[in-house]
Amino acid sequence: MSNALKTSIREFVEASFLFREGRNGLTNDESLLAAGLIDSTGILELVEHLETNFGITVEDDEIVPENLDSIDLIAAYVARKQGAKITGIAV
Amino acid sequence: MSYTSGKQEAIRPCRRDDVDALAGLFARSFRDGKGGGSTELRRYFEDVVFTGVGAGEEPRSRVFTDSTGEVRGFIGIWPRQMQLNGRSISAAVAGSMMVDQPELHPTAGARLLRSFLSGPQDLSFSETANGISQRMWQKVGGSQLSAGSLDWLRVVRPAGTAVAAAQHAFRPAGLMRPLASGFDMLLQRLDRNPLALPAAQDGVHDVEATAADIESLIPELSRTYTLYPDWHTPSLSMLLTHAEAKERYGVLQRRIVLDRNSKPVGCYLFYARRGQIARVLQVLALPEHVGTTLDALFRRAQELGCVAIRGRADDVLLDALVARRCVLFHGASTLVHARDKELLREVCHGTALLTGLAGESWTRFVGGEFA
Repeated sequence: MSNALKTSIREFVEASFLFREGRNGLTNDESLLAAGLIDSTGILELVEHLETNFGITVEDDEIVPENLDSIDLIAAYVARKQGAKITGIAV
Repeated sequence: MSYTSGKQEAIRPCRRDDVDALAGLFARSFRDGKGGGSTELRRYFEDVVFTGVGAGEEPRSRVFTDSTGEVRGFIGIWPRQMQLNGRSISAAVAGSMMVDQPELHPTAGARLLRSFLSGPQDLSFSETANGISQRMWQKVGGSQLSAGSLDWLRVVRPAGTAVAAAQHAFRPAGLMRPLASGFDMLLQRLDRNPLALPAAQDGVHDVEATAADIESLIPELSRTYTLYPDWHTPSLSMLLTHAEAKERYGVLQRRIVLDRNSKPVGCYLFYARRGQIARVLQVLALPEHVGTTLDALFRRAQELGCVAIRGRADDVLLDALVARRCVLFHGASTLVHARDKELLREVCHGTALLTGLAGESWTRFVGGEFA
């Protein structure tokens, strides 16, 4: 997984969610849901961002904390989806 | 290949054995926990989701289940066939979206909404969206219809209206009703009520109507809009039957407005309760008779002792409402979504009939008591 991918996701999360909550920092493994940074509206915003900017399709059953709850998890999920796309695995 | 593992939160179509859980969820979400065990509420869910309007057809109402399989969220979905500028399109209306402890299930609302919007319908809409739902719809490309997101209020008895509004927040305020009533009567006798209604136009009058009368007239009057239900799928008679019982709002009044040649030019349905604010289910009229029909509605509500009349605006009603000293304010939002952006543009730029019987307000979830 490239650092550029993680950096890009971090930039989006910071701009979209951190700013609204008035927080200064966030670690890569910190839970966005537990920190109250993201709700259902935020989830949709995040999914729309991932689909638009990373060329992936997020399936409904993939909208789970295991895939979207931290910068690390999001980056890993996107990388897996992109990898699957490149190698032609049906998702 | 799926990027999920083990027993997960899930979205699935509603099943009959979900009814008990849905009744409890509804009570916790909308009734402060009261009435979750009500047999009537459970029966109503059974009726409206499984045996009633659009039952068994896709798109179907959906539930969100947590990792233990418990039902924690719901979105009511009712299919509709509609006419858009003379052609038939499939649509679906969503409502009664609820999530148990959303802080514990933060993905539930998003997944329920996405699941609904990804259904087979050409057009998705809701007329009862709160602020959170509105933002969610707009994040996924939905549009808010401005006029359809406005409620209107026409006051006919000022003091009575103040008391009714106060009573809504603080029940004992209702004790002030006799005093308010006396004050409003005094205003009327002195001809000092600034919100007094104008007299009826010569020859125009309105009469009580049966459900069958209304059923035959609504399809004709709906053609005033560029988008309206076909009233066959689901049948208008079924919607009207559901709309009969809204204990919180009062008794349903059905009236037809006739011109001087006794030709029907409009109709209205509203719930009346003496001393309270009347709640309008639907107002439909030929374009040149929208104002006349509203006037007839206001007069009838006043005759029944209502202190004000409240309803939902739309593009066809808006000008006449403004001209009749109605107060407009944002209540719930009417939202539309379509994968076909041209279709969405066509809906947004036309006049859409998406509320009342056309939307979700015919259900007893809006205004029903379920004791």
